[in-house]
Amino acid sequence: MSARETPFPANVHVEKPRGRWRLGALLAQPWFPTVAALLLFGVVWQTLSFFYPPLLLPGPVATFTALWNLFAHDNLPRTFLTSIQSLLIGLGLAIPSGILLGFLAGVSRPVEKSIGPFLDALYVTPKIMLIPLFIIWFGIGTEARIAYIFVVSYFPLVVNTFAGVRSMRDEFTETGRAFLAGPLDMFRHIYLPGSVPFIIAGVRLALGHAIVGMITAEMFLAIVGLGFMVVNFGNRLETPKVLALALFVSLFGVAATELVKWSEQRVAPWTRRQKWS
Amino acid sequence: MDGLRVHGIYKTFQGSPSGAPLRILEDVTFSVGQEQIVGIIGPSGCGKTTLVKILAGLEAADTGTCMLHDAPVTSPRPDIGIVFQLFNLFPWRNVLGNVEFGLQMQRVPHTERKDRALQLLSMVGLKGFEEYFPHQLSGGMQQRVGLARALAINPTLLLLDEPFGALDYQTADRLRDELLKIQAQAPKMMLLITHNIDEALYLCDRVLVFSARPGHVLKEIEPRFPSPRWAHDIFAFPEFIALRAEIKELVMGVKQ
Repeated sequence: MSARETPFPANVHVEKPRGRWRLGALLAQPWFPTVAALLLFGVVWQTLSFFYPPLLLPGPVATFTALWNLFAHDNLPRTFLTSIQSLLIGLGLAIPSGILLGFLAGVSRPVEKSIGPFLDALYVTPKIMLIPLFIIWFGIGTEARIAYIFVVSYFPLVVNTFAGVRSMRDEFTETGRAFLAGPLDMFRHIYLPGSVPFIIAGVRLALGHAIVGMITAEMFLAIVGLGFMVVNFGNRLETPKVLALALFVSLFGVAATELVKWSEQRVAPWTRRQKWS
Repeated sequence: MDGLRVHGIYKTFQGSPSGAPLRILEDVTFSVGQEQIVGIIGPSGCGKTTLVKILAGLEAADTGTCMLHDAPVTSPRPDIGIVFQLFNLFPWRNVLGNVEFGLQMQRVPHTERKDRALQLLSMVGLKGFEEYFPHQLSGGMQQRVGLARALAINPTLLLLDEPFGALDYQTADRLRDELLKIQAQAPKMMLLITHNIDEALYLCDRVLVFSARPGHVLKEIEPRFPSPRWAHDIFAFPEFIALRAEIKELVMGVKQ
């Protein structure tokens, strides 16, 4: 339960908060621990940075200044667009095809058995080992990065969709059959909506993997994107900018994850308070 | 011949933990006439739910036939509605969507099925709850939706598999009366599976008492109480008390 869903009701304060109780009311706010931890982290970070040269540990102020400079002088928006382009294409290919394969494996034992070893292999293989292969196949351009992002985000989509289909309770499929649902109806009206929470969880995982994959690919292929940028700044020992870029990517990741969470509530409003699984 | 005729149903399950086949139903034979509510009562594990699945066309009997209006039931049919003990509402569909489900599967045009669903919802007293999701409703309201969903397809035969078994006493009581009122308005052929003797006697025109596994019809009882039953305190009738004692003895093997 997040702070956003359950705003602290104002009428809980039975007594009117007076002077010395105002702190208590503040401490009781549901967002207080998060904000306090962030502030504490900032203060400790800033304090530590006084003891080290900026080359080793730039403080938050220096980092945010560097972030501003990245926007203003280093073309961060354009670099970001280059990065996000391959991210969107890679995910855009992985999401429908991963969901499709997960569904097929979920409804068909033979498909499940035949893709099993490949999925296991894909899971345990460090995907980074495939980058040289992708360079050989696709060169060092966009295609290689898209291929890598596809490969790293594919697995959670397949596995989550599969789990969603398999966790479908018999009573729902039975009810569907009793009311004359055909095979396509079963897919559209029972398996698909019933799997939405699992699929969204898969998309969230895939998104995380894809962001990591995006940066990894760019660092290895080293011609464009945020990954290339961070390698460059690292080589030039511009530590504040390296930190600023990491901060930027993590903020982007958090925002994208929130977007997926928000979309779940739009697509599947019944999952807000799930009682049935 | 009209009505439901069930003849010589046998059902055996393979793969019990002991490896021995488990006989569930043995020579089940009975019939349900037009506009009748027939109850099936028996000890738990007597194959009542298996029988419902066979009658709904969800499972096949080993041998025997079920004929509804002279057509055999071999797979789910558009003229059979079913109400489940645990409601089985789709959590991803709102109330209206759940009631429309059967009609939608039967390719009834959108406006027509909506009208029909709204009509049924007001009949079960859920007008204004169309947009709610099942998890936002109480158990009694959920079963009303389940009832509306089954009635929406205008079935010839309504199967009720312990429909009030998961509800609290008072809610179940109220819903029983509403079922009788619905039956008085637009009579249907209903088969009610229950383990509640009072409920069976209160609702049914005929009660079939099942034996323990393998289930078969031990005795058929025809309670004759004045109608409408909700207008009389039939639970205090001497005939009611006698029938209850008789069924209890048959089902539980206990002499009162």
